[in-house]
Amino acid sequence: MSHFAIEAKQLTKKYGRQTVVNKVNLHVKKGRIYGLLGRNGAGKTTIMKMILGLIPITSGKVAVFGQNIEGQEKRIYPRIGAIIETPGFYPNLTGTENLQIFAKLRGTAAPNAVKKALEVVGLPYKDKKLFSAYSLGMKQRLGIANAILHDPELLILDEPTNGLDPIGIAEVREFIKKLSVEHGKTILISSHILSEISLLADDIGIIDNGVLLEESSMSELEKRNSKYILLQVSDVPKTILTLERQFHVKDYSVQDEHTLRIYDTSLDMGEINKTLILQDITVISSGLCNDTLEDYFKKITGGEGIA
Amino acid sequence: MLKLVQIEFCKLRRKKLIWLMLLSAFIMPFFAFLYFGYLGQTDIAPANFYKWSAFGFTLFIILPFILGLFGTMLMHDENRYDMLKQLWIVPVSKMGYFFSKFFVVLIYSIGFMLINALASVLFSVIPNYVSFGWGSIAFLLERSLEIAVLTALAVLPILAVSALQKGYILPICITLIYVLAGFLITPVNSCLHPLSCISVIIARNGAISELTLPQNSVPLALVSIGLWVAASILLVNIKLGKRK
Amino acid sequence: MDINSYLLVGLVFALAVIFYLVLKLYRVREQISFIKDALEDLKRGNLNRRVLAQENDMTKQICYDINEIAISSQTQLIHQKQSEQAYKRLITSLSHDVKTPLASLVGYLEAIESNIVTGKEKDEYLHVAYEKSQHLKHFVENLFEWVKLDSGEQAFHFENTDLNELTRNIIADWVPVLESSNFEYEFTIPETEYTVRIDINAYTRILNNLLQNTITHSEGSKMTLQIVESRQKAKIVIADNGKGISSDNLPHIFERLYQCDHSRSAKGNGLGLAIAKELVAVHKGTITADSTPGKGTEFIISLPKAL
Repeated sequence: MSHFAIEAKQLTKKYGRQTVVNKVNLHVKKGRIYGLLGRNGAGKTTIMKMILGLIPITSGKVAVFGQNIEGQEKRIYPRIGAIIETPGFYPNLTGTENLQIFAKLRGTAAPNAVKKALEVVGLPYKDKKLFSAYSLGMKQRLGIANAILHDPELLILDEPTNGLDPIGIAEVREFIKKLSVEHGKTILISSHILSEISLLADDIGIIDNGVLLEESSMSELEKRNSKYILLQVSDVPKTILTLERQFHVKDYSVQDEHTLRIYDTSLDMGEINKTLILQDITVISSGLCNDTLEDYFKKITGGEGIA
Repeated sequence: MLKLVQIEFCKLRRKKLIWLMLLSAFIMPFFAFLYFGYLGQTDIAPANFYKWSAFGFTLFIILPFILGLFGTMLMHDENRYDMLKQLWIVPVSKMGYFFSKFFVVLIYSIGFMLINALASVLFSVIPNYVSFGWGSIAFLLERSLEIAVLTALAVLPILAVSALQKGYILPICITLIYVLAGFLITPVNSCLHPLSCISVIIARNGAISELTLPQNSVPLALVSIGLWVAASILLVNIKLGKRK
Repeated sequence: MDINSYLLVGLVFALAVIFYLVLKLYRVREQISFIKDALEDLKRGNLNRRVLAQENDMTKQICYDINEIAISSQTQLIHQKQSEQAYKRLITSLSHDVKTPLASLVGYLEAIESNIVTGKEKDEYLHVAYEKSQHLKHFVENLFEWVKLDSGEQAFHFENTDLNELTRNIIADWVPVLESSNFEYEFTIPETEYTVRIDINAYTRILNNLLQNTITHSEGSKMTLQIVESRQKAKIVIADNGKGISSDNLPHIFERLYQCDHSRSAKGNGLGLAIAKELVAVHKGTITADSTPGKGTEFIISLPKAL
C-alpha cells in the first residue's frame, strides 16, 4: 500500500487547444492536510474534478488510495467526501432533509449521522428553514456537513471557506484542522488565500496557470521563510555578551554550540560582524532570513502575489 | 433502484405545483359532462363518453404536456444547481438516475389517469348520462392504465432532453412542439409519433368507435414507440456518460 | 375464477417473493464483500476506514459496530502519538530554554574571570550574572515541579479551610508588588466563611502564578480579584485590563512551555499557567481563561465547596 491517498502523474487537461492543467504531479500523503494554492482560474477546481473522475482526463493518471476510480466507484467514492465549487442542494427542502437524502443514498457510518454532521458545522438539526432561504455561508456549511456525513477518510474541499464571514472562516479552519489532527483524516483543500493555506496545510502545492510550480511540506517552506538572523560564531557566550551589552539584543536563542538565532532583524549586521571580529570572535557565517511566504509566492509565480 | 425512486419522491416535498397539475385530470371529464349536458342526451354508450373524457384530448394533449412539464421539473433543480456532480460521487449510476426519474413519471402518470378515470365515472354516472356498469368501468380502468404506461414511455424523449439541459425553457418548448406535432401528425400517419401510436393501441379492435385513424396496426405502433424509447435512452446514455 | 387462475395468481406472487429475496440476497452479499474489504484495510492499520450501511440493511448493526471499534482505536492511537510528539517538543524547547540563559551567563562570567571588566562595571556584570542564574534556577525548579505534578508524584495535604480568609492572606503579600509595578487593584472578597478542602500551599501557588502572570504579561494597569460563591462551588475571578490574548493563543495558554509572544526574551518561562492548571485539577476544580484582545483577560478558577 502506498502512503499516498492521492497520487497524480502527469495529469493534463485540455479544452480544445487550451491547456488548463499541464502535467501536474500531485502527492497527497495520508493523514495530512494538503493545500492547493493558486489564483482563481489557475486550475485547482479542474484538478479536483479530475481526481474525482467528474471530468475526463486528457492524459496522465490519478490514483486514489492506490486505485483507479473508474470501475471502482462503488468502493472508492464512499471513502471520499467532497465539495466542488459552491455545493448545490434541493431548494425546496430544509437542510436536514437535504442531508437525509444523501445519507439515504450513501448509507451512514453511525446512527444519527445527519444530526452529528449538522452539529459539527454549527447548523440546527430539524430546522424549518428551507435551503432556498439559506445564506451563502449556511449553504457552504451544509456542503461541508454533506462532505463529512459518512465519516470519509479523504476530504476534497474546493475553497470551503468561500462566502463565509471571518468568524466562520476561523471556525471552519479550526474544524478542518481538528479533523486532521484528532481524527487522522486526509484532506486536500484548495484556496486562493495564502494565509488560509499557511495556517492549515502540512503540505502545500502552488499552482499557477495549470502548472504545479512547487510541492513541499509547510515546515520546509517555513524554514525558508521565517524572519531571523542566523549567526555562526566560534564562541557563543562571548557573542551573547557583546550582543547584550553593546546592541541591547534580548530576543535570541542558542541553537547549538556555534549557532545563534537573533529574532530582531532590524539590526545592522555589518556593525555586529565588525564588533565581534574586534573581540576575537570568529564569525563563521551570518545571514538574514527574511522572506515571508507571500514574498516567496510572488517569487515563485513571478507575479504580484496573491490576495 | 427502489431506494432511488423513494428518494425521488422525497425530493418533491413542498412542490405544490405538482398537486395542482393533477387537477387538470378533471378538465376533460368536466367538458364531457358539459357537452353531453348541452346535448341533453341520456343513455350514452359508455365508450362514447369516455372517448371524450379520457381517450381524447386528455390523451393527446393534456397528459403528455403535464408529464413533460413534470419531467422537466424533476430534472431542473439538479441541473440548475449543479447537483449532479454531488450525486455522481455518492455514487449514483447515471442510468439508475435516469430510470428512477422515469419511474416517478410513470407513477405520476398512473396517478393522473386513475384520477381521470374516477372523474370520468363520476361525471357520467352521477348526472345519469351513462348507466352504471362494472364492465364499462373495468374497460375504462384497463385502458386508462395502458394510456398511463404508454404516455410515460412516450414522453421519454422529453425527459431525455431535460436531463441534458440546464434551463427549463428549451425542454418546455420541446414539450409543446412534441405534443402539437403528435396532434397534427396523427391524421396523416399514426405510426410515426409515439402519441399517435398510443391512440392506435388504445383503439385496437375498434373498441372506441369514431376514433378514425389512417393506420391501425398495433404491432407497428408498438415497434414505433419502442424505437423512440430506445433512441431516447441511447441519447441519455451517451450524453450523460460523456458529461460525467 | 377457476382453480387455474388462482394458481396463476399464486405463481406470480411466489415469483415476486423469490425476486425480492434474490435482490435482498444480492444486497447482503455485496455488503459482506464491502465489510470484508474494510476489515482487511483496518487490519492493515487504516483505522479511518468505515463501512457504510443503509437504514434497512441486515448488516447495519455489524457495520456500525465495526466503525465504532475503528473510531475508538483511532482516537487512542492519535492521543498516544500526540503525547509522544508533545514530549519530543518539550525536550527540544527545554534544551533551548536552558541553553540560552546558560550561554549568556557563561559570557558574563567569562568576562569577569578574564578581567575584561573591572571596578563598577565588574560589579554590574556580577549582578546581571546573578540575576540570570536566579532566573535559570527558578526555571529549573518550576520545571521539576511541573514534572512532578504531571507524573502524579507530588503529595498533597488537603484540609478544610476558609477560602476567603486564605485568599485575603495571600493577596496581602501581593499589595506591595502590585503597587511597585504600577497596578491599581480591587479585591472583592465576601466577609463570610466559605469552606473548601484544599492544600494551602498548592492554592497559594495557584494564585501566585496567576498574579505573577498578570503582572508580567498583561501590560495592563488595573487588576481585580473577585470571589463569587454559590451553593456548590466558589469562583475566583482574576481580571486585568491589559492587552489580552488573541483567540489563536487562548486555547493553548495552559499548555506547558506555551508562550504567546514567540520572542525568547527572558520574561516568564511558560510553566506558570501549566502548573496552575495541574494544581487546580488536583482540587477537582477547573480553570478557564477568557479574553478580548485590547481589553483584558479574565482567569476563572472554580473550586468545589467542601461537604
